[in-house]
Amino acid sequence: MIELVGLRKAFGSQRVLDGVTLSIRRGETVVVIGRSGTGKSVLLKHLVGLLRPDGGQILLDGENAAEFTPEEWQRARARFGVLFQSAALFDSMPVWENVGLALLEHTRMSRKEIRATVEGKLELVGLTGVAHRMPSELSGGMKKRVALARAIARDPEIVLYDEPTAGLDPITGDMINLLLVRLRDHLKITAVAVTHDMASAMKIADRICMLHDGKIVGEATPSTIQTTDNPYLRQFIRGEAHGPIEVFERDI
Amino acid sequence: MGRLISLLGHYLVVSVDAVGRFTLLCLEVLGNWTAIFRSRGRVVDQMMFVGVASLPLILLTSIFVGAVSTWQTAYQIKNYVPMRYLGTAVGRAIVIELAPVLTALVVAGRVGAGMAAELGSMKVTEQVDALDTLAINPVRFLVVPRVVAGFIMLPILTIFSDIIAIGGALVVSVLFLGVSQETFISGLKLFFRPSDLLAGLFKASMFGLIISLVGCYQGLHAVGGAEGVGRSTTRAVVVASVTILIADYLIAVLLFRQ
Repeated sequence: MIELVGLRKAFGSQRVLDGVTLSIRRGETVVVIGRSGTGKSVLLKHLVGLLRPDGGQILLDGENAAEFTPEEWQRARARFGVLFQSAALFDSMPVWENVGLALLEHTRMSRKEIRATVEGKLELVGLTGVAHRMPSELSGGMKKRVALARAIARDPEIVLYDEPTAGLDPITGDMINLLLVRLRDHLKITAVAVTHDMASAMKIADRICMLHDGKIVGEATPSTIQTTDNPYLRQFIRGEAHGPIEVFERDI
Repeated sequence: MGRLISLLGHYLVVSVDAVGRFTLLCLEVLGNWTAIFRSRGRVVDQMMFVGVASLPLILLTSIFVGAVSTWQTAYQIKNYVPMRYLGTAVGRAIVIELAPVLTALVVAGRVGAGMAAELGSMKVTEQVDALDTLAINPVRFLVVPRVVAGFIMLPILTIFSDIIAIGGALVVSVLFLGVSQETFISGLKLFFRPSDLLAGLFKASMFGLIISLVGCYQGLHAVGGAEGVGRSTTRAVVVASVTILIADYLIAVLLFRQ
């Protein structure tokens, strides 16, 4: 469904993505892991057209999205939902308007219908009675769940998760993991998540890929990753400072 | 010397890049002007922010603008020109120049900074990216309502400023300068032309566009967290203020050339 072929991106002299090749099949959840600052979020932003690559292809069902015009991306984004690391809720709007904004802007649904749809999505993510609250009144976990409800408001085919458990306590983080698994199973969506939270990756992934030095350097499933021979994956999941992934003092 | 040239070159490139991006933003706003109809609620909200919420500040500044200009005009003309022309001089100065420009500068500080701060905060917290991912054009959704509000409300604020400033001028003339109310008002009417008022309002609408476009541009290009938002806010006020003064000159040449 999604294929990245030799994706390259640099910011000034810093090469962040240096030939990323990755396939994502319809209906599967692929988790991209890697150290902080390796370009996981940059990779994710390419999938939804927030960044343009310097080279390579982004194939969406065979079409090269790297060459899309802004108008083509506007149309393509109807297939996507995105959960941002910081939730990115619109702080001037109440919860129901945050979740239903795409419906308000792109459909002819009445406000009553939109509110009913919004309530349904909020219930799916385990939230009730918050539709009229402002984002500033919500806890971190609640903000993430509202953002998740917003991401799935238009029943997208593909959902992108940027560090879904970042900033959350372990219990709330696991609640988010369970929600993502539930959404995968109920809505049959294709998902790409980026995270450095291994516990989260193990719970939600069908396949785990590791990004390092601008490339995908290893791939495994949750059931095989613990016994993998891949030295990069082994060093990362064991949390070891020594290995093929060099740790410099400036990184600490 | 080489370093100086390099620095100058860098600033030149940055400036040309900024002018180019700003021009693209203006064209994108023009291309999305139909958003006014779908975004009526947001346009009204912005008109309240730009216009209604600025009224107390405009009231205060206009009273003093009228009062100061009367004192200084009287000082300049008292031994050369009969005081019955005080109303004429003060009235035209207020309507053509003082009210539109000073209202715009005050609003640039309040509204321009507010727009840059709000959009800048949205930019650095990924809310602008979130709009993109919902297939909502950020220019259409955020910028167009603000630009329309600036374009409509600055002339209205200027009319308000005209009235208050002339009122302030009248009070000073009558209470402190020995000019009767009838003399002041007849002087005001003597050489009044509707074209002067329209010129002032045209200036105001252009200034309104400048304030909102510059404020939105700086906000949407904020980078680097809270510090970046602060820098954008400052730049919004400075750039808008300077641009208003330059535009004032250009409009004056266009409209008042003999």
